[in-house]
Amino acid sequence: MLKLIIRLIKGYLFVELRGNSPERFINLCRHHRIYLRKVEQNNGRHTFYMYMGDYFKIHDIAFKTSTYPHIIYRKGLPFLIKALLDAKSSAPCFIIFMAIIYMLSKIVWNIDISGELRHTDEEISRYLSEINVYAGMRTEAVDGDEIERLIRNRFNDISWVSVELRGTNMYIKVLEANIMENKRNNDGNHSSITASSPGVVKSIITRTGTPMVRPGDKVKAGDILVSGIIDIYNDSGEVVKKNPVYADADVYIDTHYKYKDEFDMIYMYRQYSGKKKKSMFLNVFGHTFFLENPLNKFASYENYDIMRKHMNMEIAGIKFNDVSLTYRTMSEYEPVFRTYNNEEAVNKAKNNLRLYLNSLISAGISVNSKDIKVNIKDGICRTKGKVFVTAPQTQRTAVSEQDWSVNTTDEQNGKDN
Amino acid sequence: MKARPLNYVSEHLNLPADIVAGACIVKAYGHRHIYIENYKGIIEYTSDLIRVQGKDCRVSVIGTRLCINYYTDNDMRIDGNIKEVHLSE
Repeated sequence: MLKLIIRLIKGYLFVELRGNSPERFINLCRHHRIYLRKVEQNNGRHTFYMYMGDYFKIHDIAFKTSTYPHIIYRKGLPFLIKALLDAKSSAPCFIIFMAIIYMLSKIVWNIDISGELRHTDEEISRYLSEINVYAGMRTEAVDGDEIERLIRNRFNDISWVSVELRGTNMYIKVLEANIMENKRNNDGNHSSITASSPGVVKSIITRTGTPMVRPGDKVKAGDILVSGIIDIYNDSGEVVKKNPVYADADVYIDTHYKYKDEFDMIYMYRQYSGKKKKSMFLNVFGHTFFLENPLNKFASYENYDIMRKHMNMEIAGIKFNDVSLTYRTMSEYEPVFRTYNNEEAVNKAKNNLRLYLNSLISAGISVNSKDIKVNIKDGICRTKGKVFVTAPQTQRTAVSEQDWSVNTTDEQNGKDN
Repeated sequence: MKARPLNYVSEHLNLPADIVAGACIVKAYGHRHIYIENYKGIIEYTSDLIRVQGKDCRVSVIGTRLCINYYTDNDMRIDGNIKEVHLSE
């Protein structure tokens, strides 16, 4: 195969040799390192293949041996290029080709989104299409700074966005920050941080506001931890002014959450019959075409699962989001009621607890210990207990004007200001 | 002949004759292909007979529709319906 490719790149000839001493011709060719292939004699004619470059070297040999090489046909890239260059239509075709390439290079063919964790590609792509950023738009219309700004505004937890246009590909890199709730929506509203549950303050770092508690203090739910009012004192220690602020602090409280979970010991199990109904949808620019087997209409299932597999069209790494194919599979099942045994029930309860703890951890809450008991009674598995955690406090209470307005007595007339 | 002392050396020292004496190697793969190594030149070439000169022998390949598939400085491959191979001094 490799030899064939080399032959096609170099170009080769099929030559007929006329004369009386082909043996001498072949020997001389060999002596001059001109290698012939498939030397045959048919009906008194000698034919062979040779490289295009070697043909210019055999003139002397042919003259010496009184033979006459005659080219039957030519093949290979050099001859193809020459034929194309000789053709009258080649110049306009080349210009049209270059124009098409130029026009295609002015279009964004692929949008690659990377770095997202909580948001999906589809979610960001959908928003991009809302702001008229889509695969197929002109590259000149891409305003990277504007796209970055809009994405940051739309997704609060995306702290950094980079939009880069490289060739016809647009690369969007995002970085999602683990922003706590109290840092969000800081739209200038004055508020205090309050305790969401009773516990003991573990640590407090205040950036803005007045800390009302210290580490080790016991707090109740609703107690103000960091006040959104800053008192301004005069030289004599009197409050002369109260400034309302948006309290900003990292407050952690050792507390406990009550955990309760219960489920029936009888559950429904899906016993699949193996019967499946498959269908396809072709989505082209918002239009859906059903590619369904008409015989499927006769099959009707009472209970079934639907599974969809969605595939976007992709050619040479370029995704076309507007053209996609969806496979839908309906699997018939029979609902069968079963009962958990004790071991299965405990495992399921433990699994549910693990999911709950994971949800706490992903919310920035660190789990210290837990006291959970599983009890199976009257066909119900109950899980109850406490989870001891260190939780960041993010609950807020708005600061009203009454809280920070100060009544001062006018020394001139004795009236309250 | 020049090759005789070299043949003698290769036989008595167990050295390969094709390297020391330049002996001609003829390999037949069925009756379709023949490889000839260490040849010096082509003496006769028709579709029924190809006669090749080796260093100290002459190889005649007899058959029908014979064709030299390729040749290089050292070896050549002959394709076709090969019926006989003769070696002569």
